[in-house]
Amino acid sequence: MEKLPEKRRRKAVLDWLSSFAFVLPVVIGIAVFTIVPMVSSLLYSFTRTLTTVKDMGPWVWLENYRLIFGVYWKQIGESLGVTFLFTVISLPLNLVLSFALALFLAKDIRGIRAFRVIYYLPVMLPAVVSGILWSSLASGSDTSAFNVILTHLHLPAFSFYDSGDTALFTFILLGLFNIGGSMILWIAQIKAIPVSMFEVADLEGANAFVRLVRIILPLCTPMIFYNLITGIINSLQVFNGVVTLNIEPEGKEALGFIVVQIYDFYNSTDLSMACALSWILFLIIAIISALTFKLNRWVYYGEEV
Amino acid sequence: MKTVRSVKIAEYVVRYAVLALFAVLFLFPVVEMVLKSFMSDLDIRFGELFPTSWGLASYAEAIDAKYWWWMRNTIIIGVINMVGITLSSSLCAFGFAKLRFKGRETLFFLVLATLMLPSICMQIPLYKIYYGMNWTNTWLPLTVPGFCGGGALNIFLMRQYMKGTPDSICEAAKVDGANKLGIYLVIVLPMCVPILGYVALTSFLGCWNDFMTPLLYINRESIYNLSLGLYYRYVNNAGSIPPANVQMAAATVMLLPCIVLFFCFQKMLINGVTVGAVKG
Repeated sequence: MEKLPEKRRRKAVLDWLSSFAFVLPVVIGIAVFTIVPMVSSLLYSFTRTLTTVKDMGPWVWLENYRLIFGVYWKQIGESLGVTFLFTVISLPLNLVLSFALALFLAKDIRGIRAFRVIYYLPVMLPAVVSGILWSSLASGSDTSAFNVILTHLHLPAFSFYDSGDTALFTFILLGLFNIGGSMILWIAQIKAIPVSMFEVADLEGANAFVRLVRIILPLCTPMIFYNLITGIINSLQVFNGVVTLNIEPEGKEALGFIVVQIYDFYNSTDLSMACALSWILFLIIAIISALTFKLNRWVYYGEEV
Repeated sequence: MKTVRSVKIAEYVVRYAVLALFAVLFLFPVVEMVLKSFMSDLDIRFGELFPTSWGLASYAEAIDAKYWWWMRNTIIIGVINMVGITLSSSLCAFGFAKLRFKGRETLFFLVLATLMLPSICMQIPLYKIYYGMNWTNTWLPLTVPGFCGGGALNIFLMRQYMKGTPDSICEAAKVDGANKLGIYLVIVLPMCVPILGYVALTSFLGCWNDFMTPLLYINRESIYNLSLGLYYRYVNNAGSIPPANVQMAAATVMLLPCIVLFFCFQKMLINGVTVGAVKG
């Protein structure tokens, strides 16, 4: 009588272990490549470690954070400002334009697939390729492709990436070539809307605007939310697109986003400062994402909720 | 009736005209890149949009022995990751989708939460960890993480897909005495071929495009991947940087495999992108 529960428990444990074994890779992955580095990053940020290869330096506690908000604030505050400015301008612009493009492309007409592929093409460019490409096409010299076109149209040449005043504008503008990525998602979402809804709307005599505001937009809110969250997280971490540019120093300075700053600290072997800054970035992203999740009442998840 | 028809035709014409206009716009950068790659140095200096004479000299200069070597490195890293990521993410996704065990939901939430962490937070202290294990300047930092879960997004996508496959078959197999590994290998995996293909392909492309990881952990020229090789040649080069036609030739050859793969597997890629996003 007493042996049965024991046997059962052993079986349950074995069952749990054999199930857990399947997710073991990701458990190890999160432990080794996420939690350990996150924690050590926090620890390093409380030390003065001016090496990326030797042991941890002496403890200085909040000194690095004091430096960030003190001596370095001019540089870092500016960098945070540029990063926010970039996010606030480019993210809504990207969302609205990719949605508009998707509305236009959602209808299945002859040859539409080819157009979708073409619009998606710039998204395929590897970071280094797009860096090389854009630094050449959008340089401020008179012979850059964009300026040649402007001259052909009898317009004055523009400094694009080669001036501190126009680099951010150029970066945001050229970022719009990547709206094909979110466009694909919008199209899928729009096409997932049941046809019957549109049929009913037609019977009721709804025009295109009413259909957009009353049917398409509400049913796309989960995708809006998804694109918003991933967009925020990615824009605040913009890095590859800047580092791969080969442009004048003034232009590059104007694109001194926060992750670029972190990388610069790391490159000058100031590990503790890089870690402190990346933790600040982490907190900013966590707070903004949490707020976005809190405010997601407008997202429509279907009737069953 | 006639006016209705002509309105319809006009609508079509306008629609295609706008589509074509945008197509020209979106094609411009890539087409200009290819055009510039065929130009002579003189064309580049004069800022021509179309080559006045077509030549392959820039390709001969850009695609040297080192270039091939870096491409070989990239392919090896890509294939290793393709295997590692697909294997480990499908194992984990099976665990999250089809097996019931205590702590599953918490763990899955934890996996998704890692998506929100800025990668730079992890990558910098990881350098020190890798250095301690003598992993820097090897391919280990670029390949081993792939075997450990394969990324939260891939697990999520695969789990969504597996949830859509019928449970009844798994139950039946269980009754017939199949163990978990058997169910995973014989029943679930064959049903998941589209999403497996998607994950395999995107992991390869991801590796092909990867720039930040090699930038942080590798500085020996012989083990560069293509991204890093081109970066140190044409972007961050203290010496003289070759002219734009050579740069564009190097970039064109690097883009080529992406485009070929994209065209061949277009439908699978687009379907895969939307599996998780629409259902999630």
